Amino acid sequence: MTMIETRGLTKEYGDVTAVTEVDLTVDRGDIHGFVGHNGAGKTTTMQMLTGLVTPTRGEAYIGGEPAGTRAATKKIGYAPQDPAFYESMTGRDYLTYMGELSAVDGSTRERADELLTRLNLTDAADQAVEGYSGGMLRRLAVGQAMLGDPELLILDEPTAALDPEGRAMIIDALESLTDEGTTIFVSSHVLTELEQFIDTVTFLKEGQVVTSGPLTEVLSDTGIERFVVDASDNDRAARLLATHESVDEVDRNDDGAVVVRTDDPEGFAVALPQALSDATLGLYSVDREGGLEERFLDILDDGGED
Amino acid sequence: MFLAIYRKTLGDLSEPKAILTYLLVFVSVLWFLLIGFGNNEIPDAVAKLPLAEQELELLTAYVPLTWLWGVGIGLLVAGALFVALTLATEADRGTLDLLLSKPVRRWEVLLAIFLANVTFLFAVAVASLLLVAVFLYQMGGFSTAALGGGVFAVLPATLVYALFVSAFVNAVGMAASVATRNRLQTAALTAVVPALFFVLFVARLVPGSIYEDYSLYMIDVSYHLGNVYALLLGTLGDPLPVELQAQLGFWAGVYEVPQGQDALGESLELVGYVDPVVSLALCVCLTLGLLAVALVQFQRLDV
Repeated sequence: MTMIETRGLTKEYGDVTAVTEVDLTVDRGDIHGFVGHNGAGKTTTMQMLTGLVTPTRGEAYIGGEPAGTRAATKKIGYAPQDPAFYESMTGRDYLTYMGELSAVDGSTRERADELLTRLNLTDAADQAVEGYSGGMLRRLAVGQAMLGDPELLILDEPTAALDPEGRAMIIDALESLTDEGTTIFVSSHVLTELEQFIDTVTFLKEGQVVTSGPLTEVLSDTGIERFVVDASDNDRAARLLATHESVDEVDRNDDGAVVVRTDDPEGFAVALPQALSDATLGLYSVDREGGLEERFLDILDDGGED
Repeated sequence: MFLAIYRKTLGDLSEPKAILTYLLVFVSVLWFLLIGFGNNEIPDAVAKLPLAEQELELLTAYVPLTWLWGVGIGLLVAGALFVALTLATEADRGTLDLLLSKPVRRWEVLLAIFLANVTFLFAVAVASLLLVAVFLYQMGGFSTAALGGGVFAVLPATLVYALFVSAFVNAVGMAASVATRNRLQTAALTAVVPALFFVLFVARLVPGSIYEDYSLYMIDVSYHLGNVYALLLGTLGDPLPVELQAQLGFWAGVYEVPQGQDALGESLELVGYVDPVVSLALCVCLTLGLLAVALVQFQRLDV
């Protein structure tokens, strides 16, 4: 069942088009990564989903409800990229107030306390927010998004400015939410971290979707995998591998090792030892590269979908 | 949700530093005005006059002071400053996007903030009215009994007028907040109301015919509000004594004031640039119109 669906979603600010014809589908219960450079249109898209920004054209639906309607907003918890707070309020009062606006079932105070505990903010609960560190504020922002037990969490860079412990805490909280069936739509610049917990991913470049789909499919798309091979004779190994059927391109890195780009990483990984052995070459090491970070660089820096 | 936003806004407005600053300025100006009134208007040993005369003296001092400062320029300036602390500050600081990402209706947010602003400014107005009465009573040397006819008799009309002024200035402030989403610009735009009040009040007192030739009375906030106040005083209280009409004629330009006190007669004619009911309708339409514009714009606002 679909949680987010957009069709031709476009936002123009005068002559500037921030988001162009974005078509997205995110299934219920998925953790969906939203990846792109700064200014790619991620935040604008998220704001259109939450109803904070009205699309110039196109449609967006949240759990079947048109985005921006109260029925849709009720399903959403949103933490913006640079959240602003009522600085003179304490953390507990802030969450209680936001809870009153989030249609929390039962006591907002209890729910606020529960989230303060979950996000390790209990000690600072009665401290004014203006005294919070950047990491504490980020956790508080995620906490306010979780208040109304939303079906969909939209998180814009939720782990930015967090130390490793804070990141782990947020990721744990998010993973436990997906166990409860919550859909999470998250953008982050820490891609190595993102790929650890997302199910599906969309790459956005200059306001347009470049590629979108399950993480495993996107990562195994043509040309994204690199193998760095160190053999007993790297010159011969490079010539040999250049002729291999699954290899697209062979190069050498600064250390002299052979860098192979392949459109069939699984096939290459299986065939490599045998191919080198048949040529009486020793295989010292092989490193497989091609995570989200590399995919991000391939797609967004090298000029679009391959 | 409506009540949560209403309570939160009242909390934001109850900023001790802002209230104390306002109180200090208010009392200082009031003191200055009272010295002028005390010297020029209130007779010495007023307490020895018959009660009816004391009441009239108190009334003819209290109403102009109230109109000019208590719920006049003082309240309008306070309204401009305090309204900028709410919606415009939320937008300016960026807290509005989190607020609007919650399942609240935008009109509820705007209306809750508007009503909290009106409530707060009305409370400020009530405090101001009491301060004017207390200071006048103390500095004028009136007997306690004179408060009945000199202050309490006009209190219902004055409270309604204060509520009306609070709603009017806050409607301007809400429209400015939505249009600018900036604290300083909101305060500056809303301060146009007291500025027009003061500038055109002065322009009316300057000899010459510019005021009438250019129909400046049409945008004269002091004249329209004076018309509304006189209408409310006449409707919700006893008929206005001619001495009070003369004061409203001088200060608000509502009544024709003949030269010389002897020629006052039993009642004064309205100046009649605009009928008081039309002034009231104009102000009500402006208040509702600005509020409607703010609501529509807020509904469409990209945060």
